Amino acid sequence: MTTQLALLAMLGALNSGRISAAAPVSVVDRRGALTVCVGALLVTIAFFAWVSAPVIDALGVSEPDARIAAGIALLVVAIRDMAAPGPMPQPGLGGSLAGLVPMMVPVAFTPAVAALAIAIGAESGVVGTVGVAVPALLLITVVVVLAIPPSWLSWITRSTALLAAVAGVLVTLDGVRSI
Amino acid sequence: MRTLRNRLGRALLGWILVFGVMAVAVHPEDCRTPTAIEIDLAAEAAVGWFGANIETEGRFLYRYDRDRRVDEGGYNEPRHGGVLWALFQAERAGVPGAAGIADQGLGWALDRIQPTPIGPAFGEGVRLQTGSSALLLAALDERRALTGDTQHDTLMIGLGRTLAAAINDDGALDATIHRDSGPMGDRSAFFPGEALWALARLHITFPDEKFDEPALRLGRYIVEERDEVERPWPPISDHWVAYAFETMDRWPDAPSIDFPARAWIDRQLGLLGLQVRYESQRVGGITTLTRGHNASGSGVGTLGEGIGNWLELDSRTGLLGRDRDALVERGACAVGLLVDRQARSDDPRTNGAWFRLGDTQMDDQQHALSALLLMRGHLPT
Repeated sequence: MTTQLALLAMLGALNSGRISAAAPVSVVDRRGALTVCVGALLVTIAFFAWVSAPVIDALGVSEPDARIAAGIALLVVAIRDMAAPGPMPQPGLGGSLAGLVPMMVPVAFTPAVAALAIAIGAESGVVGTVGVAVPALLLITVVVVLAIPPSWLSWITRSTALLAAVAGVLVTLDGVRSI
Repeated sequence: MRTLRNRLGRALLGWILVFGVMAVAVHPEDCRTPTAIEIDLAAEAAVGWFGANIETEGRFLYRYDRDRRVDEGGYNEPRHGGVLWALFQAERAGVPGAAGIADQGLGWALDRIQPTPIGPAFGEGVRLQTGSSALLLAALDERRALTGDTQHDTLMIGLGRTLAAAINDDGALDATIHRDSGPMGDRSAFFPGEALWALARLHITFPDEKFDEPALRLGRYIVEERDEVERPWPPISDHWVAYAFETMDRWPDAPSIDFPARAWIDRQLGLLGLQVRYESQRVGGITTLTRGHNASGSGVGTLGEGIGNWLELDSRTGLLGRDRDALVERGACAVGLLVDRQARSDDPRTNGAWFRLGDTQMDDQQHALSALLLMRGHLPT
């Protein structure tokens, strides 16, 4: 998988519109939750990239097949994001912990993110995976901090989902065509 | 009103659903690297199958149903030529007795050399397939390299000229030569690769006969036009062209691999990798529903042959770069599958053979044997 494709896939998987929609309304809570969410995502993605090789070995699949799985997961999640209504801040934990629930789980950290972190991690290592995740996390930060109105968020969510669907197909094809 | 527990429960269901879809799309691969001894034993058993199943006039048992214990008849001359090649290859690789069996089979083929308007060709009846002559030619050339016997040189050059004459100006190869009227303008999926390989071999053995020109014309057509013109979909892996490229690289004036060729090779490598990965996911049970039944011995064997030849070419040229390790892994997996799936039995029509749904064909043993021998030197350490 090229770096560009990995970047595109991670931008699509970490849907900034959906994550922002799940953030608390209060400005103080919102910023605290954002910090927790982005930090938790960074650690989790790095962890999945770190364990990617043993996970792939344990599952008995090859790296190209891991990419196929990641591409399919991304496509399924993208279709859900295009069709389903945007998430709400409630029910969820209060204050900064909203960064964990609902922002991190269940909104940001999807099977697509986990599968992508494993697929990219197996090929590019922890640093490479975190490297392609950082722009997506920065975008999340910008969208959440700007507190974009819901009508715009919906547009961002669906555009990002469309991007994710395209990336999902491309990642799947990349796995299919690989040796 | 939704509670936090409901929300997380729904998310968990979503994860299970997505992983369910992923599990259907991607299965564990049942791959292992066989030892050199296992490969040698499997190759000997395959040669043994040919020895046990050759008729007195030199024809082999073609198709056998082990469940009904029935010889299902039929025959295929290109595959006869392919079997001879694999047996001479086996003898050169150190499998004793293979050349003796091949010589018996060679007699049957030599009795079926017929004159046509464009030269001698191998086959029965009036419609002679160019693939038959090509693979017989490859077998004769392998025999010549093995024994130093030059008695068939005139026939080899004649067959080579026939193949060259069956190549059109655009590089396409006619699949059939009518005994009385010559090339018939039809096409075949694998004969071009077989003819290219045969001509490439001839250019090494008889460099003054100028077989390189038709070979290059045919090779150019295969790489740049054939897939679009003759069979746009689905793409197939062509192990014979891998043999041909490996051979052409040994020409004293070896052609360079330019961009169209490199792009074509990359597509082939991807196909080979995908097919091996897919095949290795067929472990029976529920995977029969999602992946179907095991491929035939010839199906898996051709993958090993293709990979073995590209690896051989890479070991001289470094063509594959970082892809080599992955290709070695796939090739080892292919021969691992062959070793594990080879039948052992008291029935000489079964022992040493590869079966799919209870049937084996002689080309199952041919391709599997060649794959084992080609990959033996490229197993991961």
